[in-house]
Amino acid sequence: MKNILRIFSPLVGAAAFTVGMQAAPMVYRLTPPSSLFSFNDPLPPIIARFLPDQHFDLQCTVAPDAGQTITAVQFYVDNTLVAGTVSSTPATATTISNTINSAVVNIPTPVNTQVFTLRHYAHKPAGVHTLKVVATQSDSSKVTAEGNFAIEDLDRGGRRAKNVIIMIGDGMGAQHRTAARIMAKGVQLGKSTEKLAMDKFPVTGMVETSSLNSIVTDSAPGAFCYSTGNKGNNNQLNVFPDDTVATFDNPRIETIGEYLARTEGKWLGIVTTADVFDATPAAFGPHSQARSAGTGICDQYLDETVAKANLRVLLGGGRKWFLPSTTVGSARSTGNDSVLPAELATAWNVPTGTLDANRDLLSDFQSAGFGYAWDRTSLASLPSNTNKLIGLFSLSNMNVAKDKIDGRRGGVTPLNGQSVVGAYGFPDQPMLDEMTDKALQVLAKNRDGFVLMIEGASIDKQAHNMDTERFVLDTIEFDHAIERCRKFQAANPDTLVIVTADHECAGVAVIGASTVTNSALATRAASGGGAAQLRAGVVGTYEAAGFPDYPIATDGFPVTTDVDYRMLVGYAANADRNENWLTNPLPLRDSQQPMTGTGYGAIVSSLPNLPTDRDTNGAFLITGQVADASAVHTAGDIPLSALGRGQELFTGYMDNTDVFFRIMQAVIGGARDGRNRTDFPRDQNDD
Amino acid sequence: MFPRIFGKSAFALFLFTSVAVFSTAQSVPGARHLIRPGSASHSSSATPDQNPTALPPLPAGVTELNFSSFFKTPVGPRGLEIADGLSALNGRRVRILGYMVKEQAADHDEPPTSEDASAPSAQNLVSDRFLLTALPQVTNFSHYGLCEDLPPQTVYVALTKTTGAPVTHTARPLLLTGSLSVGPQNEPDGRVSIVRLKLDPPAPATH
Repeated sequence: MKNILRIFSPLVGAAAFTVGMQAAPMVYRLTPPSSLFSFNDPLPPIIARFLPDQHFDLQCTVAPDAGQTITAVQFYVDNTLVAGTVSSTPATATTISNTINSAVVNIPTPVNTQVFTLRHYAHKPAGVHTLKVVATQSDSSKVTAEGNFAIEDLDRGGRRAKNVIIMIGDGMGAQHRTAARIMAKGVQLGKSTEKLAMDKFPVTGMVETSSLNSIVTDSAPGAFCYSTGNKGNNNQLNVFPDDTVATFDNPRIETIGEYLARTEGKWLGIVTTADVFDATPAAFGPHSQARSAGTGICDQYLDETVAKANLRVLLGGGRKWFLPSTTVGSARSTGNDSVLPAELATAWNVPTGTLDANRDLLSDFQSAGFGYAWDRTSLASLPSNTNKLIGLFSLSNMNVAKDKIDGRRGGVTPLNGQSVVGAYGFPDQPMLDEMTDKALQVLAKNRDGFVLMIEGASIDKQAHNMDTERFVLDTIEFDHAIERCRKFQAANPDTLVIVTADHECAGVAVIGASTVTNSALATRAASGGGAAQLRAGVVGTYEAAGFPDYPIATDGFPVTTDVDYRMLVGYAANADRNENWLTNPLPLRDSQQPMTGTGYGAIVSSLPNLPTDRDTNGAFLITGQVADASAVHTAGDIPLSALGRGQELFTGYMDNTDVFFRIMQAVIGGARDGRNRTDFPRDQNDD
Repeated sequence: MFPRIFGKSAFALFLFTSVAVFSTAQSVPGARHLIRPGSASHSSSATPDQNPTALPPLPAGVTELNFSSFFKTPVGPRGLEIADGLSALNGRRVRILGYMVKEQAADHDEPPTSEDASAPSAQNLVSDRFLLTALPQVTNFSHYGLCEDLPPQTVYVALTKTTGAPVTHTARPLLLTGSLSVGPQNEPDGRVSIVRLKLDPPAPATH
């Protein structure tokens, strides 16, 4: 039985060392990561998996004995020497991880520790393969370490998906969907009157979202698992972790866009309501150790993702990264720009990049033939023959659905006579479904098909803020975009559409409904009576919750979210907040907003900074379970919905990296209408 | 809240509104915080439309400046553009209310984050200027490099008299008067400043 075999044996594939004393050179890391290397555990699941001919880097970190240096390193796959240049660089990390049996400790990096890399490797034969490194020291002593990786073969001969649309509701767990359905569709006598667009997808799976270094991921590995089929550390993009502090030298993994451009001639589109440098959109293009390195990440969109992955559509916020640093509002800086090591750039055939804070990246995109849209009007005005499109609709993150809709409807002016979007300075931002329509119009021009990632980004951001109405309305906005993709799939049957999430955010739970009217609630909220006014007599649980009803306007959003007997949402991964259940008139502060500081003589910006700065009049403080300033991600499983060509591949429980391989099965090998193997992935078969 | 300055001469009013107080190393006789000790650094009970207290009277020849009026609104197709009203104040004396950015020193153990060996290092806090923003903000060069959340309307405030010691952070709102300089300029810390305020020099000690 597997459990017995998991009493880790120190005899299997271990780096040769003696506990407490380095009597020989030591291998501290072997990349791609494996349980075999880290824990002497050869058994499935295999951590690092790749498609046949999907490129990735091999790397190891080796420490010599005192007074020695490592003079040579060789990599072997299945005991066959891997040809190619092995480059070396000092291990500049101040600490490295030392795994002894199953305990991981950080130790100061020994003197003369080096990182050795063999770039742009690919393997074709399917199955589990051993990866061995042999390092030679200046006194001729050697050390060997062993790990493994798997090549996932694909069935051939099925009906292939030409287009794949990966829709990511950031932070969208099951109850985010439930809350959106209750608000947008309503429940009568126990049945939803209508389904959300995402509910109409015929196939459902469940996804586990852990990252390489935690049960609780963030959006970076939470998305690049879909883009590469691999696990990564939190905060890192399309790379494995390494032991150098340099941001852009990490071992790379070829992404879905790069692979399908190279092998199938497909185009790539990235659409988000966040700043385009943010982790989820960047997970489908750039490679970086730090998701915060905005200048380098956005430079890579043009220098690499356009060139190597046929990026044809990039829509979202984040204009600040595309303006030269001398332009007011630019965030470009040397400190977060990228220069690749020459050996990496040569091996992957990409530019090294330069430190160019003053680059006019937007103008460079336009020179490369990209049509530019800066608001809804200009997006709609672009000619229909546009085949390269960049849209940057705000300096940083776009405003959320509620504030955009309030801006369109007019009459909602909570900021000194201005709407939120007006005060923000960007009054005409498109909705996600409008962005989706334009992206599909561009990408459908490619005869060879496309990969399109669409993100509803602020479901997560507003769930972090525990702003119920804003995260629910963002989920509804995301659902409107899903409906556009449903219609596209109906017109283009060789399209696969996946709706998923990178992780769950905030432990959202629909706990019931208010037992009082909106005006009664407002009175209670102004009373300063705390829980006695805002919990007792208000929170209706079980049958007292009934069926909250939100009339919907013609724009598809609630007429108002301040309805009588409203739905109430609680947060299991909460930080401290005041709660009065009323719709927050203002979003929490975004420090990137250029127009803060409204009002003569006002000491503070009108936007509240923290969840504890809101709703203070009610004095109903709900203490958080986390010490963070806002609610946090959870390890919760994510429902995945699939529609279209290959949909049947997406049933069952799966690891988030499995989603990549199932997508690739649909695109490259095709689905065989029920005759597909159900043991995805092969190496995790329990029988 | 702003206390009424009872019994103070107009001269003293001019004195303490022109210089911010940092630490004993940099204190100026007679200068003091404008805000009563103990006030919260941000008022959580203020509603958006509430104007809780008037500022002290504006000195002659000084224009009131607000962060919200720095840039043209709405934003055009590219970046922010300096509002005409702000450009007109170039070289003029202004008064502005804001918060000193808390600049944290690098942790000693951490190597520089920047790829560029020539990039400025903020290992040492500077003694001759601080940054002023509309909202309380914190930067930490070693954690974020220059990828930080400083808003575009950050004001570089230059001190006219320094002791060489790093500026000590104060959390309280500051009401500063000085002469304004408007336009993009490269700064030694690697950022580009748009607006700079040179504080009025402190008055000679009167004791």
